[in-house]
Amino acid sequence: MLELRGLTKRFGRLTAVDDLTIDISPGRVTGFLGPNGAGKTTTLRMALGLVKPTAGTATFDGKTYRQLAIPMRQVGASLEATSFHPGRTALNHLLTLAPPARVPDSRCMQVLEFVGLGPGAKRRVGQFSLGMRARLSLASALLGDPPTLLLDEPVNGLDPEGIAWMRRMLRALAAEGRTVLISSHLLSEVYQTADDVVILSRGRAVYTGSLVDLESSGQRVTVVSTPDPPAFARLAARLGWQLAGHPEGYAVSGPTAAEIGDAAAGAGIVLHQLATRSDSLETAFLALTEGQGSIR
Amino acid sequence: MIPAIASENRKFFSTRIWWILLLCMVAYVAFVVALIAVVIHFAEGVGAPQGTIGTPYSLPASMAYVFPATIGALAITSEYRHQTLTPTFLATPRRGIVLGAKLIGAVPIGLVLGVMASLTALAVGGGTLGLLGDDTSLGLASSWRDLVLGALAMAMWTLIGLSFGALVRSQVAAIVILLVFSQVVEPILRMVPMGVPAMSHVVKFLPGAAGEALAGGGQVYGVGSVEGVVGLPAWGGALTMAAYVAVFAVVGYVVSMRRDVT
Ligand SMILES: Nc1ncnc2c1ncn2[C@@H]1O[C@H](COP(=O)(O)OP(=O)(O)OP(=O)(O)O)[C@@H](O)[C@H]1O
Ligand SMILES: [Mg+2]
Repeated sequence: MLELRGLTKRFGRLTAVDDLTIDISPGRVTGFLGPNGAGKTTTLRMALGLVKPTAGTATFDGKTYRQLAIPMRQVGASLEATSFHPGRTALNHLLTLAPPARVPDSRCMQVLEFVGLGPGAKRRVGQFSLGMRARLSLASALLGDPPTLLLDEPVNGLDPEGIAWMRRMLRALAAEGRTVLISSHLLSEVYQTADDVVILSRGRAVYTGSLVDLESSGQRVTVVSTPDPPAFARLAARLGWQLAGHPEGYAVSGPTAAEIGDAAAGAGIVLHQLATRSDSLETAFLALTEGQGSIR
Repeated sequence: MIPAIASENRKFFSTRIWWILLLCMVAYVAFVVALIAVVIHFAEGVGAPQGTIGTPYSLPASMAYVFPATIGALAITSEYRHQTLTPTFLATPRRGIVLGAKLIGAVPIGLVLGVMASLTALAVGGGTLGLLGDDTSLGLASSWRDLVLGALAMAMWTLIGLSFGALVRSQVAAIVILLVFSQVVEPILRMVPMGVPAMSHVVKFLPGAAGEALAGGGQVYGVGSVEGVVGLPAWGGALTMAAYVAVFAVVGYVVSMRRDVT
């Protein structure tokens, strides 16, 4: 359990993180969302003792990161995958961390194989692609087999196969009862992975809760394709649905997919597609974070 | 503390820069020592009484100390340069322990550098003098003392470089300052006592002068070259160097190491 209490960071006049009070629960994957510059990385760095909070605390089961006896055994973290010496091999990078993490050296090769870097273990990190760095960063986080994982943009740079693998792995880790926090600036990235989300905008938490609740709070958009668009438009006008043009037909706001399907069947209109889009989530996300502008 | 030292040790040996600098140091020491041995040969040839010119054995700590100092500085400035302080502090969040582990871990490394430099001075210096048919001075206890204490001085230079790097943080700035200070600034300052003898009491505390005092040198830009002025004793040189390490490390910890890592 990670508890943030009134966590605040000011850089000069800019308040990067503003009075954040949230609990990140074990056994769930929590998505930590917000546009660029919202304060996600700063929050994680404060929790990890790398950045000193202007106010507030961050504790793991009651202890600050610095108070943890063997931090890497308690909390695994990966922060924007740039922190490697380019001249050091992937295996050597992990070997430098093994003594303070109090794990045997053999564990290093084991986690490298687990993240799919076995063949690249003896290569210098300077030659690694972005996705390989992301995997190495994850390997460092997993080195101490910690019950809590804080991952900053973990899928950044991963290929589709890597993203699918990452999702399965994070779900499995949470299912084991671990606390998993993943940050992203794209809701779609965490959509299939997270149970809960914390949405940050200008350093403030604007939404904390489950994804399901967020979804129902947003406007639903259902994409409809039909061989008879004029008939469908007349039906929508009669029932007061909002229609918008869409490359595949119409985007309908308001009713559920079931309501649309029933009404179309009743009116004898053939539908070729009836799909609720997670755009509704994206819409809710944008509505919550709008006004920040992309960068502060 | 011990796991943190093991970590620092692995960091040091897992990149290539250390042995590149080690090879450069050995080559440079060999060149300088051979050159001075030849100079000694011709100076004695023109009538200087044997032994008064000095020996080449204390030269590493006078001429080649930028190598251990640079290796020391890299141990910390490369962490800033490649942003590896993030994983370092995640593994060991107490930053004083990280700095302490770096300093302790650098001691054996500095000693190895010092021993390599002294062995090079012994082989090349003794060999050259021997080939020229001169007295190698290896019968003198002072020659052996210079070789041993010279190795210690080089180890101290590794620590000075490291603690200085902790203060400066920027790799480029740390190396440029080390080079300019050791090759230009200190040699000029050391000439001041020739005009103002009283200044020798200040100049002898310069880091290079302190290192030479420990290694038994002084014939290069010597403090001792001014009539009636003596440099520090060996133990005084060692203490002065230790004081530099302590001041840089404490100020570096307070001013630099406790900063936010973003
Ligand atoms: N060291 C620093 N000095 C000054 N301002 C900073 C510093 N670090 C971060 N900031 C500012 O704090 C704000 C939050 O930055 P942060 O990196 O936490 O955002 P983020 O949510 O991680 O963004 P992204 O999605 O782009 O990674 C930004 O406006 C950034 O410019
Ligand atoms: Mg970020």
